[in-house]
Amino acid sequence: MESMALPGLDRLLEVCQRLNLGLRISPPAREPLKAGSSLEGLPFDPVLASVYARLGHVAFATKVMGWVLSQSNDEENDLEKTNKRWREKWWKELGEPVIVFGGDMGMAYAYATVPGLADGWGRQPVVRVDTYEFEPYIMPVASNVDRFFDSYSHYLEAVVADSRYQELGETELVFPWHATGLLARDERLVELMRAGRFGSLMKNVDDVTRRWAARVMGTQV
Amino acid sequence: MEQARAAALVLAVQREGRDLEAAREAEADRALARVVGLCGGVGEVGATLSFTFWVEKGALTQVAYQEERGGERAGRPVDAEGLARVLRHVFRDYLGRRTGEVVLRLRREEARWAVDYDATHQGARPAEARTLPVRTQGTPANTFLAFHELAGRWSSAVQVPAGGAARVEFEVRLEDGRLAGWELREVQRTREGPGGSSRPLSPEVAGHLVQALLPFTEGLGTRTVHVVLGAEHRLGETQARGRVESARVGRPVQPPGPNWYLSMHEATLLRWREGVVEGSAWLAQRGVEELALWFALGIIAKGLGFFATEGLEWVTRALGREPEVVAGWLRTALKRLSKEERATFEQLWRKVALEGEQALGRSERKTLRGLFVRLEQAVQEPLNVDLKNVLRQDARKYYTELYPQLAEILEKQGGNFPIHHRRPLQYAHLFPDENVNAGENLAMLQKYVHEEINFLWGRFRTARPNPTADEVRRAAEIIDRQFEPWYHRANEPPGLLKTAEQAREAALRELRSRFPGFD
Repeated sequence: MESMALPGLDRLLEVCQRLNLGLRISPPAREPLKAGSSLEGLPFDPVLASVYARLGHVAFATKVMGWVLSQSNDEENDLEKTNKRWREKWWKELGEPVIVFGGDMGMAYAYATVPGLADGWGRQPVVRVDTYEFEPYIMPVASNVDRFFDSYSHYLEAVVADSRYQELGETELVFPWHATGLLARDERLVELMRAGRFGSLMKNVDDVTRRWAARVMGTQV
Repeated sequence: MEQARAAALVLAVQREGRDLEAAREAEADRALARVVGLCGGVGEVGATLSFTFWVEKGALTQVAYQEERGGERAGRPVDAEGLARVLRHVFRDYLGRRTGEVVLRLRREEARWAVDYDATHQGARPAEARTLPVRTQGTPANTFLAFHELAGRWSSAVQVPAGGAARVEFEVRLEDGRLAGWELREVQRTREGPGGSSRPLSPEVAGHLVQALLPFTEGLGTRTVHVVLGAEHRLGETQARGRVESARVGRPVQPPGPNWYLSMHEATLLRWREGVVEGSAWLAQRGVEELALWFALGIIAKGLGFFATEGLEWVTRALGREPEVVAGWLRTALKRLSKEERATFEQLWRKVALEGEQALGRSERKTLRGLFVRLEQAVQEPLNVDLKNVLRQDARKYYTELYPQLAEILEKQGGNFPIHHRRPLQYAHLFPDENVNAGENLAMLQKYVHEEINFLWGRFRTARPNPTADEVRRAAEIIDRQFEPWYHRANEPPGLLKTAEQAREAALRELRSRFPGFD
């Protein structure tokens, strides 16, 4: 399972390099976490297991302050530390356990898989958790980790194509707020959203986020 | 930080697609054409014309002009081409390379002008002096016409006693290159004639006056040129003669603000002066950061009176502060407007800054004021979650510029070190005249410390669902007091005797005692 193809990750790495957005990579652990092995009592996502079999830590698109894959290698195991704290601090508030695998640079936005929503191959969908708000604020972003990489790579291309970035080297486009069209291409994500599978996690969202979700699903609020 | 932004803009202006040497040459050519033009009307042997310039990086800003009469005897005609050759050499090879005040003196001799210059005077840098040479030929047509109209009206109002002389003092107000107004200060008869009806000034006087004043339009900002004109009527002639005896720039009407304001203003004007189309296209490419700074500085330069619109309370208060603070506030506040509103704001503001307030039509003026009213409303509305994301992204970028030493840790450990708003974004609308993304409101924290603080704010919100600004301020002070040691740090503060949990409990106790009903 660890040798699973990861076209989304390959594309994200390629986009960061091709567009010169900055990339920082550390080698994997000698014995990385395996698919289905337990992390805080939850089955570890098979796609994440394949990712960590290849890489121990990645900072993506550092020049536009992209996001960082939590470190898990022989040098540091931030993945375990983070999830231990999340289990103690956030699971109860979220109402459902999640496994955090990264976050935006300098932000309290985390990217996490939801083991309870795994598909038939054990692949877990990805949500973005905003812990700035008084109650954690969830937005679904991908049907699995590799689709998340793929969507993020397209988002980076949109940032670079934006005239503002070309003129000033900065962006007003925020992932996933301004990436509804990209997320809508992830059919399984849209299916899960339409079926209300993220309903309990999204209990704190406001009307602005509901409108955002409707755009992803292609429905009216 | 704003100063650094201004410096970057000035540098961009100097470098982007400009031929600096050609601009220096254009400066010299304009100055010498004007000097030669003024010399052309002087035939009296012994007459002296003095031109005072502030010279910096090839930019020649004339700050004073003086003319001393010679004897009665007129010399032979002078070869203007020969004079231009000498002056070109002086301007391009000597004056244009210096920095500081330079006085160029020309003395009329029998058949030539003796040229001399003095660069030893250590004058203070005048506020209107430019630092960027402008590549343009002559004076824009509308400026030329405005001065001609003024000179015509003014000279027809002055009468000189027949056979006598008069000294006329007046002031011309300039805003950048524009004529903003003029005022006759005093007309003094310096010599009574034998009597008879007073005589008007000849039309040549108006032409000479325009020639003497146009060089002053190259300066920057709001300023006044004090002009003294000597006029006399010679018996037997139908009209009076007149020459400008002196013209000098007085102190600006309003303080121009910090130096970097003027450099930035000059940078934005440069593109305009070098060509209207290029100027506005170049400005349109500037981002909201530079635009905010540009707006802020223009607002300060114009004074708040321009924006005095009924119903503006917070906006007026916010705009009345230091340029750095105003720019930061505007940068964040403008994010609350829609893209379309921002585009309109930018377009109208560009017109005010480059062409002057009077260039705005009635409906444009109404629209601009309407946008300020809209801003007034917007800053009092709670931020939605989307806008909070945008502001957090801005805060993160600004923070890494403020603390470049922390950028590395942010890049490496990402979500472990969020940028925290000491007064939360949730309550930004309670402080409408303050910039929630100001440097002093931001601190990088370890994630777990941020969670402790968020816990406290969560409790505060439960206890005070609709707090006042003062309650939020007091709560933030309590939290800051306990958690300040962790601010701007990627590790535990050394020598600290309390843990973050203990700090949270201490803050909680204090919050409970300050806010009755706090659970």
